[in-house]
Amino acid sequence: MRVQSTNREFWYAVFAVLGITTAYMFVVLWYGGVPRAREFFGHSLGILGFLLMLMTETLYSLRKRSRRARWGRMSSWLEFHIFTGLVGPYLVLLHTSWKFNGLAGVVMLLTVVIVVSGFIGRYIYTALPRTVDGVEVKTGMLEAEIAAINAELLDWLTSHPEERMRSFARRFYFRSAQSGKPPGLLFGRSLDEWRTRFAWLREINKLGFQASARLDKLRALLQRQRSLQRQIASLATARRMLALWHAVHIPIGMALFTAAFVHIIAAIYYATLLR
Amino acid sequence: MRPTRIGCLSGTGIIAALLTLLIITGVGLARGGVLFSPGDLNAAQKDQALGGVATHAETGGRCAACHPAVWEQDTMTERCLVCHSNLRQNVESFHAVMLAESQNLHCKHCHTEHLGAEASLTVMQMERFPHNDASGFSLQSHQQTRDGVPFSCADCHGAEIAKFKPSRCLECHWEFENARIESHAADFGNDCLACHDGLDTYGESFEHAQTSFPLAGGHANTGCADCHAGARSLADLKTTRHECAFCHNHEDPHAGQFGRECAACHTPEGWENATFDHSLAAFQLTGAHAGVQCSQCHLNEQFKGISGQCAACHLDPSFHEGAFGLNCAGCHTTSAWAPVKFKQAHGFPFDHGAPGESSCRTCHPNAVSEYTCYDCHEHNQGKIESKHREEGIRDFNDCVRCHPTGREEEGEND
Repeated sequence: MRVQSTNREFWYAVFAVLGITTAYMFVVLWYGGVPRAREFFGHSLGILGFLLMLMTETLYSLRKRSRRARWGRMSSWLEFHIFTGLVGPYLVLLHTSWKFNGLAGVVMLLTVVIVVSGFIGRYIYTALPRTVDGVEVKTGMLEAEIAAINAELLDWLTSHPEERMRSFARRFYFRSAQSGKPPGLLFGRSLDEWRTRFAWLREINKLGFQASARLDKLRALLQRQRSLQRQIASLATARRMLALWHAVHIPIGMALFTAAFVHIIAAIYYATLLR
Repeated sequence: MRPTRIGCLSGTGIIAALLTLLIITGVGLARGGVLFSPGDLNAAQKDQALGGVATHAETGGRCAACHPAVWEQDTMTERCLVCHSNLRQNVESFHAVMLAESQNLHCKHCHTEHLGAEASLTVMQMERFPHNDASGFSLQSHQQTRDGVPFSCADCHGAEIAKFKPSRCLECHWEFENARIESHAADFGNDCLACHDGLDTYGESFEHAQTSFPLAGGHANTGCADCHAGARSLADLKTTRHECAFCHNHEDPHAGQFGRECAACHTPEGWENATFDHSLAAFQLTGAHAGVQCSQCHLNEQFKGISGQCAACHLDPSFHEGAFGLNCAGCHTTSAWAPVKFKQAHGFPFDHGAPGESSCRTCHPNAVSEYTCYDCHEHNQGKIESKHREEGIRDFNDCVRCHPTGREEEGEND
């Protein structure tokens, strides 16, 4: 079973944003000021950004619901959805020429809200274990994986009879097994994970460099065990939160695109009046 | 179960879209087009109300006050002038001149709205102001002064923006390139704008090679005024004549003998090494003439009116004793004087050898009027004398008189 876990789409988006920013700065220097939204460069940013946002809104959703079109893995479509969902709004932000009046300002505000909402949704989404095709993994499978990890941990302990190693492993095993309350587990999991990693580093330093190399496998097993335990413990909460998030995110998105379409129609109409 | 409907078309999604449309419509009905305004209108109070408002901001959401609808014929500029009608009253004012002379220049090019209540209405950014459309002079090369400071209108126009003194160019440029400017003004006058358009089209970046008269050879180092002397406008520069004689007439060594087609012999590389095609002349340079220097025939630079007769250059040899006149070609070719092909009637049979094998001097050793038969074949002088004296012939020096064709038996009947 392969479970998706990378964030490469985020880094692609970061690189794209850096590239766009560099190009934008060149234009600002060449133009001698911020390019206006109604001029060629500003308009191009707006059109491109809107198209990316439109793709964000439709393509992943269509792929998820299509019975016939099964191109590509769901995880790839989700990555593309996240990439366009970050780069598109950034282009729209540059299109504003840093003026947020009237309906255009409302559209930009809704864009910011939808991006922040997207980050929250993504965080909740990753709390649910899924295959690379986006199918949610059943609780039984998670428990089976935990059992397999426990067996591997026993093997590791057997092969490491030194008391200081066993004591080290026990401390972190019980730290992994501690379970908090579901909302905290769901939203505070990253913080908890980082705390555990810092604690691990502190303890490792006490053991010395040579010991740390022998503990790599133990670290990987315990990290995976922690993750699975959190997912099982917060599964029901994560499902409820994701449903709630959908109920909020989709109306905001629809409000955004409705306002954006009106803004585009108005811009085209008023541009023809500038005679 | 796989959902079949696109996510955004859920009930809440559709309700949110309809609600958004409702809110936009409501705000539009309540406040006009303010929702679509790209920024606040200028709110600076004026002493006098125009068109019923003291500021643009007072027009509020009435977009149509300035923006004509697509189906209407007038333009934004015309709507500006409905309120700001005073701009056209003084025909010499800056705005009146602009409006009259520049069809493509509109109020919005200098007076940008929607930049905020406090923002200036006049945004004459030098790089954006269509100075070229307005005046025919681009500010491309006049963005910054030599001190790195952006130009202001007053730098060139002084207090009256609609006016411009051509001498202002000279005053400024004289400060940093006085020698060149003095010389340039002396050559082409003081009205810089008559030729310069601000784009350096006819300045430092001008490429003469793109004209119909590329500056090749010796012309490459020629000063502009050497050819365009007295030019005072672009039209003058463009109509400068291309004929060589227009500039070089004072140095024609041919004294007009060849007319004005200098390029028939000379190139811009220099007057020397002229390459005249003599085949175009009446006298073709064939044979030995092809290698002759021009000056051997054309003495004293006289190129026209030279006689084509051989005698014009070649003296008739004394050997001829003037017997053949000027018809050298009757016997000679241009390749060489010898061999000779005598084509005229010859009293004595001319059957000795192939053409050219027998020299005239074989029989005529001194001159064509004299001849001798001695020393040819068996005609030994001693033998001939004794033989004729045996026959009692005393006068035997004129052989042909008795032997007109050279045969011995011809003299037997005399």
